[in-house]
Amino acid sequence: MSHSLSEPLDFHVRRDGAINVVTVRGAADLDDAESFAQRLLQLIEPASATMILDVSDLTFISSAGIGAMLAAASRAKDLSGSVHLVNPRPTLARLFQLTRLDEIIPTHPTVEAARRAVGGS
Amino acid sequence: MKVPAGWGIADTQLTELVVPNDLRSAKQPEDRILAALARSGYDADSTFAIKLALEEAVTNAVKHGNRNDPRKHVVVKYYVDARRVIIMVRDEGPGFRPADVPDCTAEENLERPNGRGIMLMQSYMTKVCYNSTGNEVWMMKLGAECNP
Repeated sequence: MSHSLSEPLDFHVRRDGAINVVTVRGAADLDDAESFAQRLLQLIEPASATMILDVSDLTFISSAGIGAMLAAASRAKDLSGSVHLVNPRPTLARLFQLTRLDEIIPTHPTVEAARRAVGGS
Repeated sequence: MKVPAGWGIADTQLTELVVPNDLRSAKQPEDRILAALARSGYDADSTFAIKLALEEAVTNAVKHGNRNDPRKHVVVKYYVDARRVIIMVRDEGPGFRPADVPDCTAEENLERPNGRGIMLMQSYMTKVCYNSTGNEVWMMKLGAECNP
């Protein structure tokens, strides 16, 4: 069980029009938290200020990663965009409720649902 | 500070590791503690909780306590059996008063990118306490055998 909590972090970015659909796998733990933050922020640009973050296979995140998502959401908002989360595992969903992250960043069951909420087809 | 009274073990039962003040080095005690949890049969939820609390404590020690100073060190002591996990994290900083940390779940703080670590340690562990200086945090989580 602890293996999935130690899997290396893997990032996959797919551009869908002006939206970045980012799939994150593995654990965003101690030494990955900073690169996680940098990569999220780098993806929020004036031409692509909306991000759909598919965390279905994200197994671990700490407050540093939560802070990174909030920083990305704040930057997106400044650029008239938004950040959306997709399908967090129950352990992460509980963490997001506890920190009230889910009140700042909307959560959707699927990428398609997030895409519809953003206003795409 | 010694193991808090009533936590069921003696100081001599703790394993101590001293690591350089950086997050990569801090993975070493984490890996050892996770391996001990697996050997003692902790489930995925408990392992998640303990890893989270440990990372919050270590991150606070490296960044806030030792202010990212590479000349400083972080001390981690731990004990794991099927009944309980005890972890101590100490930095070389001046300490702080946990009561002075703003409530991260208050409306006005929700969008702040930091300040959640202490709340998460308290939420995910059974007990959390600090030494009088505030540069040493002790955390305990009861194992499944103690959670009927």
